[in-house]
Amino acid sequence: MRRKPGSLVPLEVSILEAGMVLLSQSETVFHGYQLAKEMKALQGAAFRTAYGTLYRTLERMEQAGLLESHWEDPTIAEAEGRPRRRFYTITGAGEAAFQAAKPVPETNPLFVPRPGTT
Amino acid sequence: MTTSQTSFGVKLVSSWSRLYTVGLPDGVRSGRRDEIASDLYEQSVDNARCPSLEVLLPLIRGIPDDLAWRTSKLAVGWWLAEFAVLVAGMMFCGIVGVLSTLYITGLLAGMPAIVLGTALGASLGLWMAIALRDHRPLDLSAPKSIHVLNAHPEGDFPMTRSFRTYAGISAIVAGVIQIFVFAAYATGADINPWAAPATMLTEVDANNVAWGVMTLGWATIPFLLVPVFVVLATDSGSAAPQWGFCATVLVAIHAALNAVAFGFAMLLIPLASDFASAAPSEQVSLLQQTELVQHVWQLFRGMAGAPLVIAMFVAAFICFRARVFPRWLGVVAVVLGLQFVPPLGGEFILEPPAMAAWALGTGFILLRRSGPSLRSSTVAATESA
Repeated sequence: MRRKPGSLVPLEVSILEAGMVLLSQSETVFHGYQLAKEMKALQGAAFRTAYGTLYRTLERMEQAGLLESHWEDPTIAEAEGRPRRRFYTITGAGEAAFQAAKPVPETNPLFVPRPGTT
Repeated sequence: MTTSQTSFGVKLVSSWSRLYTVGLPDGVRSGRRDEIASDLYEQSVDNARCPSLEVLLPLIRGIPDDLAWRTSKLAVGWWLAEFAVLVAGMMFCGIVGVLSTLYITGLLAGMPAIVLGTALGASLGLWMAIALRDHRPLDLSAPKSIHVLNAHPEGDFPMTRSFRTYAGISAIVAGVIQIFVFAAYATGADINPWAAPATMLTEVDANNVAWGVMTLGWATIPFLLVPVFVVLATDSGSAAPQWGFCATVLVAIHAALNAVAFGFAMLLIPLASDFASAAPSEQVSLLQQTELVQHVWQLFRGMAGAPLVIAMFVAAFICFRARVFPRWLGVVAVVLGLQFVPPLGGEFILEPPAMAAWALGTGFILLRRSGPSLRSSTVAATESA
């Protein structure tokens, strides 16, 4: 499926949405699993996003300038006895793309606010 | 769900990530593996008793994306090679299945197997050439090694050195096996597939061990040549590697058909054993079975020859055009290819020595070049150019 240049596919919107939620929870960066968990919670899905799908999309979004990533200092991971993490954050372009793509809240078509009342 | 089931799922995801990243540049490979390892670790810490389905389902659903991601990381030539092998293999299996059925049921019985095989091999070669025509990863006017053009900014392909060593060893093993096969052939262990069924069964019964070993060797050699052709393609420099990849696919097809042919031929050993001790009334039934096996053996052997002829001619073309392989290897490849052309091959007198010489020669050349010297020299040559 081809898409218009600059537009986001639903999965990318979900990633940005989950990322925004994580960043609003006093996180400065997030890693892949956090993102998968948050997406699952937001969508109320039974299963998380597939590994291959998630990381391929993250890479594509990073190449598009919507996300930025960096690897954790290996000494920290070693000290904590776990694999090193790859941290992501949303760029300004990513935030703008999300704002442009996020679904518009449903409004009552019969209710039209008068000018100056909103 | 138990923890052992979960850890099985984690191990499976981890093994799969190691598998689909094989052969990719160092940085790309380790990055993806580390990211998956971190994800699995966080998931297991977050939910120590997470069911294995929570791990396995995302694994299965993500496989197409994993493969697509791998494809995007491969150099053009490798992508084409993997894709071409997959498509050609699937198509060929289908065609061979249909033709075999038609042949066995007698609908194609009037057509000699060798004609059918040659037509099929030629069609496939033509199709491959057309399919890959627009995918020229190299500027044919520039004598550069494909390794230079495929060098990834995140690191060189790890196969460039290790795979050439592996292919070299593989070629030498093929050459040595060919010498043993030749020795068995010289002692009269070969069986004529076009002999009368009764004669054939008598010959098989008399020589079953020597013939069996020789046949096994013959069936193994083409498989050992597949990695050699892969390196011929990647090392072909300006000699149009797409032809090298076509040849690789054709050799793989030859290997598969050859294995089926000789696999069927092996069925003659128990038939020959039964035939020797059977009553005359039972012998008629055994002869009918032999005739059927013989038909399939002839068909597959005939079909197996055509792809190898084309592949050897392509190998010769690469040796003549590319600067990294000596021309005498090209001459040997032509001689070898001609041995599989029915009117010229005859009793395959020159095939064993030509195959042994070509495999051993290529093998030693590849081993000599398995160090970093080729890449260093080509990089230096490119930079100076």
